Amino acid sequence: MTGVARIASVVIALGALATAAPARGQGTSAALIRGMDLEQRGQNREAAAAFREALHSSDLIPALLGMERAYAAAGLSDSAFVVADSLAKAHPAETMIQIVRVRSALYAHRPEAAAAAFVEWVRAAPGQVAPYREYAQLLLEAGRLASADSVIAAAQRVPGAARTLAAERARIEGSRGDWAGAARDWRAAVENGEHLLPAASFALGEAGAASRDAIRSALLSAPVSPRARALLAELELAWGSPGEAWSALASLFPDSATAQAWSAFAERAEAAEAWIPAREAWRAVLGVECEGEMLLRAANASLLGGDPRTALTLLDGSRCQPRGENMRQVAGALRVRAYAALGKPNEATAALAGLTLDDDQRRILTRDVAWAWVRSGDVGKAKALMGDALADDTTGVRGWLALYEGDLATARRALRESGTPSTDAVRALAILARTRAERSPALGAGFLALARGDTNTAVAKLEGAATDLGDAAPALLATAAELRADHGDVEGAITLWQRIVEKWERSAEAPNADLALARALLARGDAAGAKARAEHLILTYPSSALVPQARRVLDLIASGE
Amino acid sequence: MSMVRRIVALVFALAALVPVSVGAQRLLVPMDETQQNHLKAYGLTFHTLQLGQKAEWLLNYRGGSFLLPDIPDLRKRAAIDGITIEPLDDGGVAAVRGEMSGQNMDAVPLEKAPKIAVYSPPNAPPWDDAVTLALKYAGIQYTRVYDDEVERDGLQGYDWVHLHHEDFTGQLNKFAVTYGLTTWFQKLRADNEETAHRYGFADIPALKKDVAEKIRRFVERGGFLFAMCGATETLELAIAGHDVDIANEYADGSPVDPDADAKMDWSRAMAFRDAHLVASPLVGSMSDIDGHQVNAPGQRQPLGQFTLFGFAAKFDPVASMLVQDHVQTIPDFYGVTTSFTRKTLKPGVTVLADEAGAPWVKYIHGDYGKGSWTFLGGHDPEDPQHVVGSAPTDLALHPNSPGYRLILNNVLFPAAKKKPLKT
Repeated sequence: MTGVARIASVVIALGALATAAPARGQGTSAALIRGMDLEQRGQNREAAAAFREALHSSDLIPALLGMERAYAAAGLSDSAFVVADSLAKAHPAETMIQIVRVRSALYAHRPEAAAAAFVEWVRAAPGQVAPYREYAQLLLEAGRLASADSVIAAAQRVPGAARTLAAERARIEGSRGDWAGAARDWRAAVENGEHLLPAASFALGEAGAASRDAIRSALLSAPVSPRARALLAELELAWGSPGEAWSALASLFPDSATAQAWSAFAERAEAAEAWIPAREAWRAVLGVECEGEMLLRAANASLLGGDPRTALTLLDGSRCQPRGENMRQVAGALRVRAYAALGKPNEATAALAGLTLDDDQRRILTRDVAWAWVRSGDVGKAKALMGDALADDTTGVRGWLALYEGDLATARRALRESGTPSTDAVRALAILARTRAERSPALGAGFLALARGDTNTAVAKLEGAATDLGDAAPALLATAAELRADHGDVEGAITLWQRIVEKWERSAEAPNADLALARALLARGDAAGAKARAEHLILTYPSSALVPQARRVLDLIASGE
Repeated sequence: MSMVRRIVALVFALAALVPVSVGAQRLLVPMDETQQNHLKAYGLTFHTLQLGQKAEWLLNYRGGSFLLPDIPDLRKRAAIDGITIEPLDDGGVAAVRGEMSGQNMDAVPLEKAPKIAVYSPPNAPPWDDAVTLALKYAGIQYTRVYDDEVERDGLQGYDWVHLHHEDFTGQLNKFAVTYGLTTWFQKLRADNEETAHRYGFADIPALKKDVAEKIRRFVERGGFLFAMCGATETLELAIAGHDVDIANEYADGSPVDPDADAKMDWSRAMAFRDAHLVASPLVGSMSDIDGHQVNAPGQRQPLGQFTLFGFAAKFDPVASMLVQDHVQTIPDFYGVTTSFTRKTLKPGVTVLADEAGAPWVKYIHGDYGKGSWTFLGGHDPEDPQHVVGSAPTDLALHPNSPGYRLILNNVLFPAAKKKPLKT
């Protein structure tokens, strides 16, 4: 923060206090008002003169701060120091005057004067930590770590200083890369003041991956501290480890304060789309506060996290059932979606039947039930359920159902017309765009098997379709290889990638297959094979966007040699 | 300028007049901002020499570019590594030479890939040493040597030796206070003690002093030494303090000689003089050679930036080679020894880079006997706050690192051709 900005922040803080004070003009000196008006107009030198005049009124502190501000804006902090210096001699016990004295000396680039002012302030306030804390903070802001460190070290003789100056010490340790020490001191600091949590999280969040275990161990060490755990949860979320974030909080003693911390965490986890940690947090809250709303949020998080089975268990098995018609309708809708996600169309249909919904809500849930029929393998029933709505569908359902039946022409058109396509739709469109064929039952069967979660059948069907749809063969084999690799059949995937590279060297999939081959070979310890593939990619497709990634593979190989 | 440097300057000035092979097609490897991967460009040049081909280092021309023969193997390697190259026909080469002739530029022939040794513990990970990181990334071969090899062979057969943060005073960087209870430190100490006893030394300080002495002789007899971080300072302390007890009691069983400062023989040292030892075992620094005092509580100085000096390429080619870079001002970085105080530099030491107005310099060079040495303060140019346990620097993220270029300048410098004067 610059000097002016720092002063401005003090003003804002004072401004906030002023709302409770008498209105301007009632008991405020005329000189002070004039100073503020001049300052507002940017006439800083004149404003400083007015504020100096106001120093003789009862508005000493606001006038002093105004004067410091105006001089700083005019680049005359040295003048502010002269005034503050003489005021400090007259009012040695006045903390704000001492702060302005030290601060204006530092802003005027007079470190020796600042140090001397600090020493006098310490003498004037024996046994107090404030001089050390304020001076150390100013030095830290100026980036003078070594000097700040010396001030903190000197403060150790003052009772209570170790605890009070923990945050300042932590900042110094962090800037030196001593993250374990910084974490220990931030822990002490947040235990003293909860308001320091964001500052601690921001400071420790900068630690590199290799230093994070030291921070974790400092914040998790006994005795259990809810604030330290909250700090660690914040950090883990920032570091992209939401599961670890929840682990930090999960073992806290369950009481109302903890439930509040858990709720706050669940909200943040939802915002970060970390659905399973959010669900776990809501479940924990339910153990303390049996509220239907928490139950619904837990079930919803579970569904969005891809675990419909637990969502159902929560909805049907919890003692904290939602009260009121509105909440019961929400619970019913969640139940429909959970059954649909599990591929249980009959149960989803039954759950849907009992709900009172408007047309839009019913259409959305009906589409979910249709998907349930698809997942159960009955495309006909899905189409029947959608009925007339299918003709107007813009969500992609019509395209998918056509694709499952092998009607590539309709699928191509309908999927393209759907709003924002999903990842699956993009994958399907990429394949459809590669062939001019209008029908392919084998391709439809492949995608249907995928929708049902039957990867083995899907792979077999896609590989079979590659024979019929020669123009889309490399795209189909690339998709099949990806599916094989995702399900642990790396050898099968390698065979397919090799086929693509050898038989369709000029295809769009070939560089991707080369890179995938290089990575797979490296993962199984064949560095020479991996190197050959990566080099082949770079030399054969020099303008491919994958070249940097191929070079990355080569760097990995070189660093392991 | 010393006699050796003057001779080298004249040799290079004459060599530049002789084209390496007239009529050949060439690859220009630009080293200015157009280069996509500066660090791997050094590896490409090194690879050229390994193939038995000749190269030229165009000092001060577009950031210190290289001129290589146009052969398929080099084109392939440049493509794979993402190194920018510009094919030149004879006319293009002539134009480059013409542009250079009227400027502070010169062409230095590079003829032989130097044999490189990196002094480092056998089990040290490569990322703990910026030089091994740079060599690995650039694809330059080296041999790891440590106390066994130095004691047995005395570094014979190597052109270039690198030292990093070894503590040649034998006090293991005074890490005992902070890391004494950690497993890695205890193993480090046990391994070093075992080696000391195997070679008949009473303790680690005695072993390390002997290793330092053998390194000193390596340079004296014509070797090139490049040292970084704590090795710079402690090597010199070990050499100057060869006959003085400069190690703390925990290291050798006896306290530091109270008159150690007065007994140091700085005439034996390469770079420094009249330094004062920090005898306390509780203070992490070794002496007042380091300007930044990173491990001395309350004395640490903030990092600034250092500026590379310019040298006359035709008359001072050695210094010129060492400072070739595409930027001149580089952010500073900490190490056990970060910088070198001006007051402790010997007269005649060439300052290659310093921080303007600061009482310290960053990068120095000098001759010693028939050889020469270069010292660069700091641990890792791309990890300015490096501490023990820091994550390894991924050089793939810093392919244009100007700090790492300084390290690689030192690697290629011994490849420069030397031949008898014509006069």
